[in-house]
Amino acid sequence: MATKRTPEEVWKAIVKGAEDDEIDRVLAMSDQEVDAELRAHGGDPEKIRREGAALAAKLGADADRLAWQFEAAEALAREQARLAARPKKYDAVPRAELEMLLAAARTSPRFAQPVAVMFRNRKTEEASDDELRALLEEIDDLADGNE
Amino acid sequence: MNDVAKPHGKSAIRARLDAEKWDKTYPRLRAFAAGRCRSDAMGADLVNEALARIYAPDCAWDPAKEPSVERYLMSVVNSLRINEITSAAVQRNVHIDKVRHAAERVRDDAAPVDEVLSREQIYTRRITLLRARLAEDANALRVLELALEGIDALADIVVATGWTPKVVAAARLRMQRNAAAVAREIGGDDEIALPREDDEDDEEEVA
Repeated sequence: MATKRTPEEVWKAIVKGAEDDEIDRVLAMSDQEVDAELRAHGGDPEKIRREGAALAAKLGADADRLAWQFEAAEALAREQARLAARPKKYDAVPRAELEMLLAAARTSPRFAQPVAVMFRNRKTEEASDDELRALLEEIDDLADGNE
Repeated sequence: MNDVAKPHGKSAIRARLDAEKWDKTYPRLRAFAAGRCRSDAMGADLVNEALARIYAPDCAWDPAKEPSVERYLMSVVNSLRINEITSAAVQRNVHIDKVRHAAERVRDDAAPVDEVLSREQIYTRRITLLRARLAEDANALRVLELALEGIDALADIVVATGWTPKVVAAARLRMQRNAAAVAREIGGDDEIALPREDDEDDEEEVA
């Protein structure tokens, strides 16, 4: 059942319809008609064909070359999402206790190195409460076997 | 992220792009874009940008929603064209002079002309002007009235009117061209998305 539209909805439907109709028109063209359309706008169909094949090949090669960046970003995003989904154990823990827990982690043979890495460029007292909580969550995550 | 949404490696999108016959698809995209821009050079820029986007890691193409690469890329070209125009021109608001000029042709005392119109008023004014322009074209006016009722698919209009698809398509094209004229008359970004009155192959079919 059709419903009455607002003027804005109608206008946007008209615009969308025009765009779709134009796309349909070009998709329905034969190759010869496409060439004629290109020539009508000053283009050289043969040259454009070669450009298209070359551009797609170049873009594909570029994508392959940079694929590792995408995969690394995806892996990082997955890891951050997993960490964010962990139950928050330290939200109500006061700072003094947070610092004690971190100090204990520094003395642990298992966590001393990762904690040192986390603080390689700064001191514990320079970190905010939230940063300390996030670090403890990461240490817990390591303890759970998520290396 | 599922495999379809990942354009790299052995993903479904990348496989689709690798299988695409670009020596045929690309010229069609260029013909489409040249028609939209009325310039092969400008159209080429848009098509190349659209291709770069579909090969990019964060490509937004969802083949489940739009299975056709060509159709998807043409919609990207349309979006790029609109963005290009709207960012280049400060035409987001309808200026008083243009509105007053248009309002003089179709009187509507309720429409304020002493200030920039609200969004709702702009669209109401556009539809009013479009109706006025179609007063002499019963078929195109009927297509507009059906659009107001939410009926704008060609098949649905055919059913609602009993006209042939060719007659419906022609009436709709005339309605779209008049909409373009309205957009041009009172300002707005939509004009570029609509067919121009001086385009070729104007169908003058009547029911």
